[in-house]
Amino acid sequence: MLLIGSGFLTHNLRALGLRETPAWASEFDAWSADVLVRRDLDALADYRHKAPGVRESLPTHEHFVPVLVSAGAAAESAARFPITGFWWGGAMTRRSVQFG
Amino acid sequence: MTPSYRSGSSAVMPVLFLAHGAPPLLDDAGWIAELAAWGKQLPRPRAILVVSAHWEQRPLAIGATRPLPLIYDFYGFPERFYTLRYPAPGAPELAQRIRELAAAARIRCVDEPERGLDHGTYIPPALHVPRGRHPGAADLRCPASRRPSCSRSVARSRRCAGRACC
Repeated sequence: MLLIGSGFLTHNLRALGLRETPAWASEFDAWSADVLVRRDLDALADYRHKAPGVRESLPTHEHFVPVLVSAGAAAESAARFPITGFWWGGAMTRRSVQFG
Repeated sequence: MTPSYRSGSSAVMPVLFLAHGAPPLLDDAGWIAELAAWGKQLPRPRAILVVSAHWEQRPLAIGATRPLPLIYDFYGFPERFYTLRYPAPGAPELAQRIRELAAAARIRCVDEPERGLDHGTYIPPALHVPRGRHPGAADLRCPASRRPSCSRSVARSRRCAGRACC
């Protein structure tokens, strides 16, 4: 069985029109990548308090929940990122993760 | 042979998190090429379980365990966006395994059999799964709490999914 968490690390629909990546999006994206690579699930689960730019990156949280599930399900598997960057050079991160 | 989701074969299967895009990205050749290249490197699964971002109600729910029409949950796009097909068979044995694991962990879990796959589930695989080779599909709909702390339901969902893929 292939488990796929399907969502977005940053999901702010009010920022869809941006054509420059704001600091809050790049910082949140980079923080997410760092905790995923370090397999720091405690920090990941506490993202609402620990992550920079979380308020702007995730006005609502439903699109982030699947990465918690994937990371939790992957146990100790190493994380890598087959797809990165930002759509339209804006605020929506394209970052996708493969654990293991 | 009856497929089993208890066997060790899934131990070698990676776990993914996918930025699932949006309908306009069906025209993004670069992204589609990246998805295709990634997909080619993955072992072929018997079934795919997608953790949905499009379900906020409690409790945990299992959906689309049998073939259903896709949900075109977007508006105002050209006609071709509404003719995309993703004819995945259901994955009833996988759904049953999830029910058993949730029950063992005392996580309330219900079926939502009438709601089909939405854009978060079918758009990425529809772009690169070879015709006629669709794995079975089901999706797991995890509640998303608006409370400021990481919700207990999310943590419970993590455990449930983690066990489901063992």
